[in-house]
Amino acid sequence: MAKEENIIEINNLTKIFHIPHEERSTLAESIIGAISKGKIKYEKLYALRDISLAVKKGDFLGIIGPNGSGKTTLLKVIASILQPDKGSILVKGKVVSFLELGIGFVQELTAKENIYLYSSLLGLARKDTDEKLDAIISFAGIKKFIDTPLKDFSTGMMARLAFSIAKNVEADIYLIDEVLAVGDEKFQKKCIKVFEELKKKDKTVVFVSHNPDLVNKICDEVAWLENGALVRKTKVDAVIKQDDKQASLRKKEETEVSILRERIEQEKERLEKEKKELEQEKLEIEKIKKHVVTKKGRRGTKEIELASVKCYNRSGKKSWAFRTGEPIKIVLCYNAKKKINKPMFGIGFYDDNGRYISGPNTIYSDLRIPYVEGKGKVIYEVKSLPLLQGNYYFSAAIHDQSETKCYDWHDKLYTIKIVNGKTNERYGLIQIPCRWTHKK
Amino acid sequence: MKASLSNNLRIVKDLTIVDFKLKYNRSVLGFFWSLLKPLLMLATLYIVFHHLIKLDVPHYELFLLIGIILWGFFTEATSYSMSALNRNTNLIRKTNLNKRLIIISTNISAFISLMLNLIIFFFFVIIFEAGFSWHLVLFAVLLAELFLFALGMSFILSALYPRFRDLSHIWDVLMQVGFWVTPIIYPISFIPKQFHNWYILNPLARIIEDSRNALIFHKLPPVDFSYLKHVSITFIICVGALIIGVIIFSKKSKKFAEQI
Repeated sequence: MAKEENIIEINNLTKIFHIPHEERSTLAESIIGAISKGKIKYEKLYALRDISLAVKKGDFLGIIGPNGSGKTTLLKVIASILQPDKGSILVKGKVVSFLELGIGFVQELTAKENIYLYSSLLGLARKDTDEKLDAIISFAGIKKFIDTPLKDFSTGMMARLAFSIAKNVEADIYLIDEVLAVGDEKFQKKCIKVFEELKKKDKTVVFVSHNPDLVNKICDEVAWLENGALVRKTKVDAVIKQDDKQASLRKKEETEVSILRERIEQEKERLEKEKKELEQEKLEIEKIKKHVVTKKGRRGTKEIELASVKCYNRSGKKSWAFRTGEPIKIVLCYNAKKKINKPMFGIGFYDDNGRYISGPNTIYSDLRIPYVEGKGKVIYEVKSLPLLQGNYYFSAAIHDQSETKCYDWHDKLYTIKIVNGKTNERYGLIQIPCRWTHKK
Repeated sequence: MKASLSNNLRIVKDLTIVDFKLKYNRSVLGFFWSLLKPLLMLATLYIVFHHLIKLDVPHYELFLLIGIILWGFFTEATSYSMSALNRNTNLIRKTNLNKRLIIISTNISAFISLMLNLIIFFFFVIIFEAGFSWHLVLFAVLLAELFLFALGMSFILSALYPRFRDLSHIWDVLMQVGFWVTPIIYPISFIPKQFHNWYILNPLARIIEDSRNALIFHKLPPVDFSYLKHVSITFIICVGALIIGVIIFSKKSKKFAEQI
């Protein structure tokens, strides 16, 4: 065969992955989806864009590119595992591939059984495998584990085994994906030896790697992929230095950038935290200010006096802190210096911005007190406090029935603190009892 | 490529062996249980339908067993094929193996189980003195037909499964319904004549019924127009399923590496 002949020819190859916006992987979902929403929307991901490449027989082509640039996809298309969406691909001869750190392995079978199975898939007769078995095992360095099920193997062991089988199969084209990333130094040296042997035998190799130095050492040509497009293709011997430099420069840059990014991220987090703390503090200060400003104190004729205002919690203890949904009892103790007819007791709740939330009183609740004289108590009870987390003020007051005369008014003198109870609600001021349902 | 047929045959053989090993979890006992399953079912159904419901069919134990075995093969082959692609993700995503071979080997492995079950059946034939006759040849033809149908359905189901993951549940339910819709515990003559044209659209009906005539009753069915019609319908459905299956599978299998 003439050396000039192209053994792999790729023309304007494009591979698109369709990523559906919504996963519809069941028949039921497809039917429901088709009826209610029509066609599925796909996101088009261009794994490979308009790539043209040719590899001559006996050449070693290295493919370099960042993660997600389409290297493995390209190998899979050459291995005809994936079908191209546009363009054409021509591969002459038998292809053996080593993809994604391992190959067609069955996890439950032992290493030996896998060797036979995989060799068979690659077209090796059982007899030939028998002969090569020892070589395969010793190359992979798994002699002790030959009868161990593969699921107990480490990734490195599996990759070594896979490569070891692949290299023992006679083929025209070898597709090799990142084999050197998994092995230790000893194994890497062995691999490089294998490549040298393949070179001697005039085999064609397409080799994917992250390591530009290595690619330069092994390959005749290097294809650079970025975002699925072929950025450039260079002959190694001519520009080896330049590429080398660029590659190491790029690598350096990449690491530097990633370190910087991490730092920025950390800094951002720190700032964010500080900002939050500051805001919290500001709020706290404002609250206190407001409290001072809005605290209007007492007024009224004092014909009936509010002697004390106290809040009690569920267990009957005095408290100023409650949970949302808890019962609260506010006891207004009064002292009437003379007999007063038909007084009205009331309470007003405010949020910490001074907004009026609720103003219940005895008349609204139909508690008609005919008269008061001397000491007594009026009790206001809520079974389940609907207020959400925050600080609230309340006023307590005694008026006459028509609210024209004020006997005693403690305006926003009392503070209660609410913390979240059973509810997770946290927007707004109150929790309105409710129920959510969903219908299609 | 040259020598691809012998190569493919070898791959099918190896895959079948793997399939068999995995199915029975490399244990003799696992295999033993798989033989016990139809017998256990036989015992249950026999007690219920022979002793409790008093179905009067000669050689009811053999009658039931052959139905259970053939139906069991069909269920196993199709259900197992449906998940075969998922069990072999590595083969699909990392090699350019002809995916048809996976389905074929799964069916062959189910067929081997069927053969082993048939050995037990013939053992029963000897015990219950039903005898053998030249009609066995007809049974071989029926088996071939059944295999083609199972293979065809396996292709269709496994081609659609990566896209519709609930297919396995749907198929499970259909198989349960099918067990009663197919003449397994009762003869086809229990079905009123006017429904026969519909009933026969299930190829298993004709295959199981004819297998019984050949193996147990040693007689040819009455060869008349309606019988010939039914036989041809069964044959057309079996071959049709295979052709449709191969077409759908070839079309869908190009995308398997992306979907699985």
